Amino acid sequence: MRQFLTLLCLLAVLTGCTSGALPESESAELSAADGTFIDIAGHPMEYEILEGLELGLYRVPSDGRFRPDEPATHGDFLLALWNFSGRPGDSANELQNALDWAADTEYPDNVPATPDDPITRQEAMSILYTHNGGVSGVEAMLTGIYDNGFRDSAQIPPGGKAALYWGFYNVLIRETEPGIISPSGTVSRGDMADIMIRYVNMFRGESPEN
Amino acid sequence: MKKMLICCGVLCMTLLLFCGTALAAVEVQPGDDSSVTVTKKDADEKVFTVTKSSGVSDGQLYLVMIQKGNASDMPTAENLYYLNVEKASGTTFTMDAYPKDLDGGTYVVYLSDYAGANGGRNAVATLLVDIDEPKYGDVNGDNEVTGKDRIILSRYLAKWADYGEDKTDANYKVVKDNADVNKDGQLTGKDRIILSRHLAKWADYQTLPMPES
Repeated sequence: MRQFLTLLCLLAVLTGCTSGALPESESAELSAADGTFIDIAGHPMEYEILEGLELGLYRVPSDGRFRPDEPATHGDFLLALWNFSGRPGDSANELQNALDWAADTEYPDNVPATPDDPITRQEAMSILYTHNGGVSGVEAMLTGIYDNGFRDSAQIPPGGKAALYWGFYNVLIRETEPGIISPSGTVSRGDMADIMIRYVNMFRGESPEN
Repeated sequence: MKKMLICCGVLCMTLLLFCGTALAAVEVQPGDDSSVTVTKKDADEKVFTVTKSSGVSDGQLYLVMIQKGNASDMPTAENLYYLNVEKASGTTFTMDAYPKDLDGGTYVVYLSDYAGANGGRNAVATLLVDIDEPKYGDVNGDNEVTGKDRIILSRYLAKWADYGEDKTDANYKVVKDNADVNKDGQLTGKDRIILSRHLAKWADYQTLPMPES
């Protein structure tokens, strides 16, 4: 029931956000999409950051910088996911709301609650996997292929394999080089924007699986 | 003279209709394993029969995959077009594979011993698919239809520098045939609005292209 309500909430947020981001006038859309973050022009994840901004996943800070090449922290990641999930909570402090929400509902047990620490690829996928209901799909049939195909699959922590393979199958993360999945690799804020938009697209039905 | 004009008109109409239809042709190239055959089952070339005729035990589990791209690529939701596991019945294994709609390109068909090989991937055939239909909505030609295509089309229409048909970088490239989602032969704000609504899942905008009636 809780998962159903979460999904309803997500769909409501998505519908509201996408409708709001689709004005009839081109000039209105262009002004919403551009000139907000001052440090993303030409960055490989520029479009993903702009889409996330349109969807309300991020706020523009007073210095106007997104800092796409800096490591994303647990707090950054959970804040974006909390925004996507309808911003539940009643504290004036957004980050505290996000952390409380995550601790109460979505934060996987195998991820340490350290909001200022850089988040790893494994931890990011564990959070999204749990948020998505914590159930494997058809990718479970590919476990043997992934175990053999990723040369560093032995480095995946106990209990983390289902989430990481789910994330890879759904193209939330890619290989860092052919045959390497890098579970302990860090996630830049630009990478985080890419992951979040791909996760949003899974709900929109834009995933190639659909 | 009148009859000749009518005949010409009918011929032109036929050609126009023909040009507006996606033409698909699938060529099956066999792999190295002579015990396995992959054949087209139907005239529409949408179902493929995979048969292994030797070295099969009754009840043995086999995994069949059809994956776009190179044999070395890892399977994902993006490049996997078919995946199924079935039991062999008797000493021959046969499975009909129903991949989702194939785009133009190269696909690898895999047949693997699911329980025993533990991840070994045995490429048994290659499908070469030739389709002349544009991928509508895929403005930058990266084979995906996402918000990125909408932003690139918006910027192209607003005449931002660096965006155009001659670009090779998918962050700046515009494939006009793909972006012309109302098939009126030109790129305008209408195409951008249709694409926006398609991405936002508006009820009447589910299928591209959307020619104006």
